Amino acid sequence: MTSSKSHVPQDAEDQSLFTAFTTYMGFIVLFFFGHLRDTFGKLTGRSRFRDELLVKHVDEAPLLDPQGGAFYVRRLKHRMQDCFFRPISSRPGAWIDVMEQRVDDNGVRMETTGETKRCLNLGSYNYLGFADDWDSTCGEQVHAALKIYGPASCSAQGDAGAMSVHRELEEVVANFVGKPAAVVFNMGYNTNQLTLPAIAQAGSLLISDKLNHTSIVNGCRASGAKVMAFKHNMADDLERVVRKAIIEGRGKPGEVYRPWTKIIVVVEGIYSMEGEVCDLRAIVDVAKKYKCYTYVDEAHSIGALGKTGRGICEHAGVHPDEIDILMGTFTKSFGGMGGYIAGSQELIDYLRGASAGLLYSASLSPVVAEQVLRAFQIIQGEDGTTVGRDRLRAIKDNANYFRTKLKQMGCSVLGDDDSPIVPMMLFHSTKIAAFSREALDRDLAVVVVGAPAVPIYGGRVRFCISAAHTKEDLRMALKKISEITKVLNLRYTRSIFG
Amino acid sequence: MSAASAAEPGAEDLTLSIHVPHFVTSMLAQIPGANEYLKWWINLWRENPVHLLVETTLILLILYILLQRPSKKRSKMETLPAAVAQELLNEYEPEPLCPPLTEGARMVLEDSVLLETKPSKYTKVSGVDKEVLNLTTMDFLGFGQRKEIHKAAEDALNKYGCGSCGPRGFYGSIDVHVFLEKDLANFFGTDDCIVYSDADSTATSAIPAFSNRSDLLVVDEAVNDAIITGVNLSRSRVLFFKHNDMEDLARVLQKVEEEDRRLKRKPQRRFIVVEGLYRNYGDVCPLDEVVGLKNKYRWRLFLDESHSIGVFGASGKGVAEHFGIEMSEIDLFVSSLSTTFASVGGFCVGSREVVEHQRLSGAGYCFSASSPPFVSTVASQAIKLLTSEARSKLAPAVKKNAQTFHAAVRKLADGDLVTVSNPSSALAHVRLAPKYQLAEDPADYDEATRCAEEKTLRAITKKMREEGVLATVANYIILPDTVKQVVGSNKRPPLPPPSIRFAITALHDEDELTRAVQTLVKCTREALKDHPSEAPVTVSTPSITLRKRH
Repeated sequence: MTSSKSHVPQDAEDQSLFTAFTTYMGFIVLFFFGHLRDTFGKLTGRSRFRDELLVKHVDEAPLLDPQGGAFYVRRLKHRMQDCFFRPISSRPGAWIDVMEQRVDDNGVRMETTGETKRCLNLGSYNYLGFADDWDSTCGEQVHAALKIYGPASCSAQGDAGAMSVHRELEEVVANFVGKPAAVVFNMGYNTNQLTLPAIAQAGSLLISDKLNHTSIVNGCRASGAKVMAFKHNMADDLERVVRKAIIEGRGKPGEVYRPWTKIIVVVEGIYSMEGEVCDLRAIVDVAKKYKCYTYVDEAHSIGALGKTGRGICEHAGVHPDEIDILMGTFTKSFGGMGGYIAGSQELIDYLRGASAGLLYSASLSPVVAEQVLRAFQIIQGEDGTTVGRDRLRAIKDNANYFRTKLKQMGCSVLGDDDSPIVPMMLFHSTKIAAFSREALDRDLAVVVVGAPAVPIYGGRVRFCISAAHTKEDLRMALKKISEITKVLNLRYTRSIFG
Repeated sequence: MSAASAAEPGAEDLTLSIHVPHFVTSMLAQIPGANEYLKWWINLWRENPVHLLVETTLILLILYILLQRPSKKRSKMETLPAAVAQELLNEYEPEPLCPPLTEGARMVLEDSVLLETKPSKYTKVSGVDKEVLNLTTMDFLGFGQRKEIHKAAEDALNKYGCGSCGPRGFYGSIDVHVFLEKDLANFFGTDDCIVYSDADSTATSAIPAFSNRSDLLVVDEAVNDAIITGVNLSRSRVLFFKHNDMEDLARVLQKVEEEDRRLKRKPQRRFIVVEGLYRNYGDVCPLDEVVGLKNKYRWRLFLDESHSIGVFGASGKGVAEHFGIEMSEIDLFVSSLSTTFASVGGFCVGSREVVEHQRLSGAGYCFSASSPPFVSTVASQAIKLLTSEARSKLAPAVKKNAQTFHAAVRKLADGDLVTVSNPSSALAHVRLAPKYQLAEDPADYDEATRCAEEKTLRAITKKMREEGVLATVANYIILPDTVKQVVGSNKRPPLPPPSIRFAITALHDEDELTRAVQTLVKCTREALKDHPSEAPVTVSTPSITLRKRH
């Protein structure tokens, strides 16, 4: 079992002042020319966004505020619209066929040309590579499930959407993560968004990591509970927040002291934009010390971290009993869809009558449930092969190899060892687009992330490493990335000019 | 700055009646250019002392405010003696993570049905020996069992595997997702379409994408939970109107207009939020009147057609088509893929502007993995079936079946049961007749009366299952009293009244439906023997089965 290592914050704030200055300058230039072009367009009517700019509303507000988000889309996103939402026409395996796009409709919209390009996939969450050899690993069982259950349940779990395959999956999940019971949802996002409101209400306090995923943020907001944040992955700061919360209670200053009905600490196993592994041991110790409940979102860590793939608990040496609620998704390592909540029997029984995801939303497709079930069997070696074990080792080796090489190259790399997510800082918004295009030219499909998903100076490329990548694939990718970093001046740890 | 102002009167060659300590002047003498700087300052003083004083004060004030902020608010934590703080920490004892099961939740749990095979017309339920007639699956046209659909799923699985392994933005956009969006846009005759991977997250994401704090939503009381969650997440101001009561809607709109005039409000985005066919009632929204009011008062319209799609309208586009309303009249049109389309997910069709905006702002789209490719091919295939066959065969069949069912309940139930749903609706809600109802209005149901009435309904469905007919009681989240007490200002509308929900499909025939109703009536008569004659007395404080408005 790997012990949790000391957490080295390696945030985007480490960048030099020079980079920060040029990044902000870049944005200022974009904004300036954006507004200039908007003004010109409004005055002369000569703009590809004519309809948007000249729209007349007499009594009502426009559907989209032309100065707010719409400006961002018009003048910033459109300049790099070819870098996001690239459709593919193959399995999301190690190699994918990216559909080529061209700007159509006077530059407002992208259209596919019908051509495809074979690229190395460094973007999908295909951690254990089930997308690659699906036919030999899962195909047979999944096809059988389609015959038995049909493609979808068309009914909520609470009505008649629960099928025997769902119950079977719930048992397997519970066993795998080491909890007495579990329940499965149709969508990972909804698992967070609809479970948090069921367990926290007005009077409860949710203490959330600053960088938690939107599904958690929205779940917290929808709950009506008070939400506080602590500094990303800092157990010390969590302790400060918790102490303050308990001492001050939930009354306003000067009112009678009323304690919080319950305090729930919400963290993620691996942070998807940072690739950082949660410092769970320290966080759980704080939570236990102050009698807080813990909610761990294992979306990216289940089936990827830990020797046997059991996620952050195994990785950080925390016993599952120490965590109150374990949440995870099936999209990533398991090649399916949906999510689960695992916890005590009382909790799961309670959720079955209190979570909108179980009472109102249509249940997980039985075909997907079977896929996930099969993936669990393989990971646990119950299929009689060592495929699962080999892949768990491969993803770790691949990720660590890739991360080390990028660091050696002099790139500013975020995240911790063993994490299959390897983000690399680009900082400038222009470099975000340029990196994505340069990579695509070299047959690499990469995910680039810019504001507003990350801070304005936090532009980055996020590599997702898969067990299906061969060493040869990775070597080739690193060679090409090395070329790009030279062209774009991205070796930030070598020089402040990159 | 403060050094300069302290040194300001200190120049020796200028006469000023302020004594300056010697060390200041000697220190200044060492700095090159300091003398010129001082002269400049003193000149300023001579020219306009008031000006200089005011400006210096302002600068000092700004500095004061800037420096003051962090230390100003002394929290209770710092003011409390350490021992008291420690005691509070030691004494803190949280409530259990989840409250004990309420009666309502226990009933949901105990009444859960487990299918052992596909949800076709006859299916196998665990705990019942023989096959049961399925009246729960909302696959209204029976597409889920068609071989074309299965073929589409199989082909997609062979080509793409199972999962999509990523959100739409990050290589999770498989070509079949794009094709499905085109198919849906073509089917509805709109510019564009966006597909979500869960039906309920469609409304939950679409509403907050277009409506925020400064906006206003007028919502039918009976809309489903997904819409309520979306409305609450948007943080907009919310006004509810009585279910399907157009006079009440007009009253609310009129009131807002008067407020506008009085308060001279600046324009805000305003939506009327309705469902085409209400999931919780099975009745149809008088959409023609809603559109009339919308146009009269210049509002926008949000319409959820999840349960009318494929059943209503000449070509199965839903209630809007049924009333002959143009798609352009509806600003946000969302629907589900997990009803008639026998698939999983939801979608929103509309103008390019509406769709493109959601691709960046629809939380359930941006931040969630896309649906597995086979789900999309199934839905695309379902649209093909719908366009080729529904108009001629399936839609009339399901309509006829629905009418048969509703007529049979009216005829056979003999005053024990009533239907609240539209006679043509494939989603039928059956309630106990008013003489057995324990409360008059949905808002009058408290936890105890709701549970008592639901108990009878659940006894009916249980007996029906044993007799070979599968129907379920409509489940709602009934929160425990302990939670309700801490719920403050609540803007969740009351839960719909307890009912049994039937999903009638095109596959059923008249005999089956008549038999189902006969079973229903028989089981009802048996269950009514144990039905309380009057509402149970609520012991605790009046409990309203509502959830916190966020």
